[in-house]
Amino acid sequence: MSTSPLSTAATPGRRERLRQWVGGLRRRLARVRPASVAGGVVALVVALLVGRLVVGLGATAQALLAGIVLASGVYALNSDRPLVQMGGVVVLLPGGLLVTASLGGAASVAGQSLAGSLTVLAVVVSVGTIGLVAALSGTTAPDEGQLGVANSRATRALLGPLVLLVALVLPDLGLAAQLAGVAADIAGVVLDHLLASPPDLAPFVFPVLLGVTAVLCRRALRTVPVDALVQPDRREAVTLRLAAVERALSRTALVAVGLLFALGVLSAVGGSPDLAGLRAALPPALAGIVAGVVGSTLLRMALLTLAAAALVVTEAYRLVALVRGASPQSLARRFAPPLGGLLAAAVVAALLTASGVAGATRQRLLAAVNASIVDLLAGFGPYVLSVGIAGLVLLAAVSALRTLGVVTWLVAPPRAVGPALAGLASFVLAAVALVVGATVLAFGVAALAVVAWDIGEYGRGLGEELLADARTTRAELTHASGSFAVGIAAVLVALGLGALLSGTAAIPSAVGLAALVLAVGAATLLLYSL
Amino acid sequence: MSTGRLRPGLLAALGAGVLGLATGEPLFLFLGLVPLAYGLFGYLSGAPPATIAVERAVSDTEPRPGDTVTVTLTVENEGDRPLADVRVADDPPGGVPVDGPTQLATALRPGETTSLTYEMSLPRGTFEFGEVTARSRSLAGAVVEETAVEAAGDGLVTCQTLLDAVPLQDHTIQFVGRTPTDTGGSGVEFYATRDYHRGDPVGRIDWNRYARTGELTTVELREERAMTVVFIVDDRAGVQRSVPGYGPDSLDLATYAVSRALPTLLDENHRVGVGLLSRIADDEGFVEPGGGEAVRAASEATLRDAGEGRARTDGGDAAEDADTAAPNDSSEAEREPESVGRRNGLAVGRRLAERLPPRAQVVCCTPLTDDLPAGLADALVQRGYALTVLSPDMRTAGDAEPTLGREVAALQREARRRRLTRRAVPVVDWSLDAPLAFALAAVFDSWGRSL
Repeated sequence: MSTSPLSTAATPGRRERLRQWVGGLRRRLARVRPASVAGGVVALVVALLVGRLVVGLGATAQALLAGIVLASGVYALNSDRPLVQMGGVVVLLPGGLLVTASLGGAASVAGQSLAGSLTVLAVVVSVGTIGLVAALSGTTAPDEGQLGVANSRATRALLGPLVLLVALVLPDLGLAAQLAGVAADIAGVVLDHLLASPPDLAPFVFPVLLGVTAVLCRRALRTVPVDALVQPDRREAVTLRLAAVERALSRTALVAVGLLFALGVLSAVGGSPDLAGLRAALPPALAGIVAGVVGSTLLRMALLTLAAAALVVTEAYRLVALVRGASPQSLARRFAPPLGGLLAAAVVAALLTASGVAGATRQRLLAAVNASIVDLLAGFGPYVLSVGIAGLVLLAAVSALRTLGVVTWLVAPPRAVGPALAGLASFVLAAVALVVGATVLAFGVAALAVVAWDIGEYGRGLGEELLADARTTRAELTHASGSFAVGIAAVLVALGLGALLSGTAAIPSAVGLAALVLAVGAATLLLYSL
Repeated sequence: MSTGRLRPGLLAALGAGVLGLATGEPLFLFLGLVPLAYGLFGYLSGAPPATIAVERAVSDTEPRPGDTVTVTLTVENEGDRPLADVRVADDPPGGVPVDGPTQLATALRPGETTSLTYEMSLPRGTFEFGEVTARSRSLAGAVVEETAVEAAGDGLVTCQTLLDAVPLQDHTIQFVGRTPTDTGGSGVEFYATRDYHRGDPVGRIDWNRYARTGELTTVELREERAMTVVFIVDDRAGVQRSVPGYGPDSLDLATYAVSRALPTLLDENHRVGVGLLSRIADDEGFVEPGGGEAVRAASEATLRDAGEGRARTDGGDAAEDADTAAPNDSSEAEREPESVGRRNGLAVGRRLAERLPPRAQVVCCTPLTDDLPAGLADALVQRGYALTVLSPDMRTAGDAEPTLGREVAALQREARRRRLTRRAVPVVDWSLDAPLAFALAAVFDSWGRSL
C-alpha cells in the first residue's frame, strides 16, 4: 500500500466510521466537567420540585421535554454539516409542538385568573429554560454564540414551509388573490399603526419602533465593514467611533424596552392602555410633551425610514457577500435550514393527511373559527392546512428560541450564560414557590438556584482555564460541598430571621432536622475533600 | 484579584428585594438573603496565597531520540492553611508531543502533596521546561491569586547522540533557507511583535491583541536564512586510523559523514562545498560552495577521489601535494614537533581561506592524529571563518580491548581536542557506538533546529 500523502486515501468503511464516531464522542464526553453537569442536575431538581407543585408532574415533564428537544435543535443547528442542520430543523417541529402545548396550559388558566395564568406561564417558561440549558450543560453552548447561530438558521428554516405553502396556494388563483388581499390588509393595518399612529396602541408602537430601529442599525453597522471605506490611517479613529455608536444603539434598544414597560404601566395606571390613558397618568405639563413625542408621525416616519434603510443595506451586503463567496459547500450550508423546514413540513403534512388527522382537524377548525375567515380556510385542503400548521409549530419553536435569545441579551453575563440562565430560571421558580405559599420550599429552591449557578459556572470556568484532560475532581467536589454547606446555612439563617422578625415563616421541625442532616453531610464532605 | 463571579448572586438578592418592596411581602426580602449570603461569603473568603512548592522529575534527562520520558510534577502545600482550589499548569517544551495531563486542579491540606504525570516523546534537540503557573482560589471561587513558580528538579532535557552537538555557528547568509536566525522577518515561526506600520500585510496583524487592547500590532516571524558550509575531509594517507576487525577507517567514516550531510543541506537550500585537505589548492580537490545538482555531482566525485587517493597511497605512490605542504606520511607526521604540524596547518588554512566565500563555515572531518587541524583552525579563525571539527573517536570502534598503543594515541588525540576547544573551536567527539547511518542522517537533518 502506498504511504505517500499524495495517494488517494481510501474511503473509510462503515466500521471505521463508527469507530471514529465513538472516539469523537468519547473525546467530547471527556471534556465535560462533572460540576457543569451537576449544575444542570440541580436546576432540573428545582424544576421538578416547583413544577410538580404548581402545574403538576405531567405539565412539568412536558415543559422540560420541550426545553430538551429545543436544546437538541440548537446543538444540531450549530453543526457545519448541512444534513445535521436539516436534522436540527426537523427536531424543532416536535419542540415547537411541545412549546405550544406547554403555553396552551398557561393560556387555559387565563380565563379564570390573570395572576394564575402569569404564574403558570412563569413556571412553564422557567422549567423549559432549565430543560434547555441543563441539556446543554455538557457543552459550551450558549456561551459562544450558539444560540444566535441557531436562531438565525431556525428563522431561515421558516422560509421552507412558507415557500411550500405559496407553491401550493398559487395555482389556485382565487385563493391566492384572497390571501394576497388578507396580507395587504394586515400590511395596511401595520403601516397604519406605524405611521398614522392611531391612539389605541401608540404607547406601545413607538418604543417597539424605536427598539427595532436601534437593533437594525446596530446589525447594519456590525455587518457592513464601514471602516474599510476610509483611508487606512483614519481607520482606527473610525472604528472607535463605530464602536461607540454601536454601544449607543445597544443602550437605545435597552431604553426602548424600558420605555415599553414604563409607558405600558403608565397608560394602564391612567385607566386605558392608549394615548388617553398615558395623558391621564402624567402631569399635564409632561403629558403634552410625552404624547407629542410618542404620537409624532414625523418621528415615526424618520425611524421607519432609518430601519428600512438599515435593513436594505444589511441584506444587500449579505447578498453580495453570499454571491461573491459562493461555493457548493457554503450554499449547501445556507440553504440546508430552509430545505429542512420544507421537507419536514411536507412530510408531516403528508403523514397527517394520510392518517386522516388533517381532515378531522380541518373540520374542527372550520367549526370553531370566526365566520369571516371560514371562507378563506375553506379554500385550503387538508394537506395545505397541515403545511400551514407545521409552519406555525415551527414558528412557535423559533419564537421560543428568539425569546430566550432576547432574555440572554438582556440579563445574562458575558460568560457562563447557561449556568446564569439556569440560576435565573430556578430563582424565578423560588419566587413562584413563595407566591403559592410553599415558604420552606421557596427558600430551599432559592439556595439550590444559587448552587446550580455557582457550580455550573465553576465547571465552565475550569473548562475554560484548563485543558480537557486535567484532573479536577477533588477541586470540584470541594467547591460543590462548600457551596451546598453555605446554601443550607443561608436558608437556615434566612428562615430563622424571617420567623424571628416577621413571624410569617416558621421552620417545621422535620425540615429543620433534614436541614441539619444535610448541613452536617455537606460539611463532612467538605472536610473530607479539603 | 476578584473574579466578579458573585455579582449575579447580589443581583438576585436585589431583584428579590425589589419584588418584596413592590408586593409588600416581607418574605421576598428574606428570600433575597439566600443569594446575599453567597455574595457575603464570597466577599469574606479571601484566597490564601499559593504557598506551594513544585518539583519536576524527568525519568531520563538524556534520552535517545524517539524515546519516551515520563515527567512527574509534584506539588506540595507548604503553607499552614488549606488551599480549597489550587490550579497548577506545567509548561512543557514547545513542539514536543505530550501524552497525559499537564495541568491539575485540586484541593490541598497543609503539608499535603499531589502529583501529575505525563509522557513526552522527544525528537532530537535540547528542550527546556517553562515556569509552572499556579492559581489559588478561595472556597467561594471569588478571589484568585496567580503566581509563577520555579520548579525544583529537572528543567532541561537533552535528547541527542554526540553527533547532534555539531555546533555549526551562526554564520547565515542573505539567502532564504531553513536555518532560524535571531532576526524578525518573513518566516513561519513567531519571533516578536511590534507597532503596526503602514503597508504591513493584513494577515500579520495581531487581531487578538487588537480585540483586547485596541492597539494595532504586527507579528514578526523568525527569518530563516541559508548557510554556506564547506566540508574539508582530512584525506592525508598518513594520519588515518583504523581498528582491526572493525571495517571502515577514519577516512571512510569522514567521507561517509560528508556524503550523508551533502544532500540534506543542499535540499534545505544551503550552499555547500567540499574540499580534500591533501589537495586544497587543486581544482579537482575543491568544489566551490553552491547549490544544485552540479555541486552535488562534483562533490560526490571529489569524495570518491579521496578514497582513491588513499588507495594510491597504500600502493606505495606517496603522492605528496607540495602546495599544501601537508605531510601524509604517518611516521613523519607523528615524529614532527608540534610547531611543524601547526605551521603546515596555517599554510593550508591560508590557502583554504583564499577560496572561501565570506561568512562561510568550515566543517573539518579529521581523526585528529596530528597538529595540522590546530594550525588550520588558527588560520581560519583569524580570518573570521567559523570552524567546526568532526572527529571520529576510533576508541569506540569495535569491542576489542584497546592496546597500549591505542590508549596512547587516544590520549594524544584528547590533548589536541582540548587545545582546539580552548581556541573556541567546537569539536564533535564522534562516538562510533551510535548507529552511524541513523545518527548522521538525523544530525544533519536537525542542524537547522540546533542552531
